[in-house]
Amino acid sequence: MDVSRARGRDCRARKPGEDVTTIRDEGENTPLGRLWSALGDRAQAGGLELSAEFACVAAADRLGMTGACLVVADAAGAGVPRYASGELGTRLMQLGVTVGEGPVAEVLDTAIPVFAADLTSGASQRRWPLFTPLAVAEGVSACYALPLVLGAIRVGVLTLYGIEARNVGPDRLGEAILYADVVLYLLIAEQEGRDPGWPENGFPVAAPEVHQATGMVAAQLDVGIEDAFARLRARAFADGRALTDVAADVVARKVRFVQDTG
Amino acid sequence: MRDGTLVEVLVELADTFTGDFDVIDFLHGLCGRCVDLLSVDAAAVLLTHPGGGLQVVAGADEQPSMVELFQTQVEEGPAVDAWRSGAPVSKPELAGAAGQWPRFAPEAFSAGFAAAHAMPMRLRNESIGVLSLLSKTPGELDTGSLRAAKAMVDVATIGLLQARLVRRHEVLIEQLQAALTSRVAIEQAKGFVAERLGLEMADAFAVLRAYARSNKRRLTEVATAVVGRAADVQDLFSRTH
Repeated sequence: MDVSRARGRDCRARKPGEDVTTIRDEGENTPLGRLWSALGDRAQAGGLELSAEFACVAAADRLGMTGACLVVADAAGAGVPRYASGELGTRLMQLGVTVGEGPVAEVLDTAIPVFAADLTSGASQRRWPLFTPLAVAEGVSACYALPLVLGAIRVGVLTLYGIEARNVGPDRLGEAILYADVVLYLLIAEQEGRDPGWPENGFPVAAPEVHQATGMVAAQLDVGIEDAFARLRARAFADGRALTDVAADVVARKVRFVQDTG
Repeated sequence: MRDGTLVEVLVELADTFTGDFDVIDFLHGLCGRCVDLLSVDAAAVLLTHPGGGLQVVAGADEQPSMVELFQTQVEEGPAVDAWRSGAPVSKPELAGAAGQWPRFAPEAFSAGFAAAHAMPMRLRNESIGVLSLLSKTPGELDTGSLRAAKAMVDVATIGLLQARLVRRHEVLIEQLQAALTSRVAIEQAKGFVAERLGLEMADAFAVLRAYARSNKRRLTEVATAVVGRAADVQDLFSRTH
């Protein structure tokens, strides 16, 4: 049983004087929450789990792209191939890693999306002189690479590729970013080996205290920001509390993390 | 408010459009200048999340309670109304607005604010964000302040997009997404600095900002280096306060 589901939405830490009815539903009623639910329903209907891979493929379908690849960042920030929806995607991913250049490398470095609608263009050739001709030779003409990040925490890159040059319109681009958020949270949840209980407890996107608490824990434990985030989530799970609640306590200095001794 | 002052502020803001430009730092400064220039008591900028919805990215006052108050407007309030309609929204008397904004109005009022105004940031018939203003005294913004607010909003939009080629919508989405990611990184760094130096969040932000300025580095880059425990920002922690 997922403990987190047993709690209502009104578990977010309240400020003095703030009553229960003013707590906002940060979960299901957001664009991200709605997409999450829709993908979960679709996965279930197909007898599948909502996984990062499922969401990647759904993203490619939504954008009318040929396929998707997923690269995750290792401790050093380098990209490690994790999944591709087809043979072409696998080759594209490997190519990027081998050459060390291209949309994925750029996104890993800057955390800014790269939208390459036409790899056969002069602009692409100038931007990635090694990667572009090889990618085009493989048969890839469009490449949209989306960062999977939470501030300074680099989780990976979602790439949606096409065999034809393709200008994805602004609305679809916005949707692609939402799909990337879903993939991001699925990857985070996977690290914990459990259902994160989202969106009942809200996605930690618009909650500054979650990010502030992450930074505080990193300083308290003298660890990297990714580890700090994992520890914060582990504490929430162990205590059976919403992440935003624990984060609020950390920021209010009611909860501290101490380094393990011995 | 004199036109001369507005021109000075605009020149000052435009001067920051250099190689080490940081969008969050810039918007924070812009909000601060709005408070001075428009005779309001609080200002914040909310930007469009490419997937939908609004997100606070900068405010003149970084105290969590103020950020939270502005963030409330993501669902209800003058800011989201202005953002959706594409037209400025003004409420000179918040006291009577509980019917219109049943959550935001009482919250703002009990925080001591009597009036609220919002101006959308527009790019080619689309709202990319909104400037939200709160005042402790009731009343409309005077003509001069309205004109200045419009100018500040335009500068905010330009700052977000800078000199980049924006005919392609992709650039806008890249910039919006980058701003949102920067904001999160800065929140993480605020927590880190607050813990290390025993500060409140607003003061931690001020330390980060001051360090970035005096070292001529981008605020976001300093934030990332701080949480990355990079060697070259360790002197930030040896500052005395």
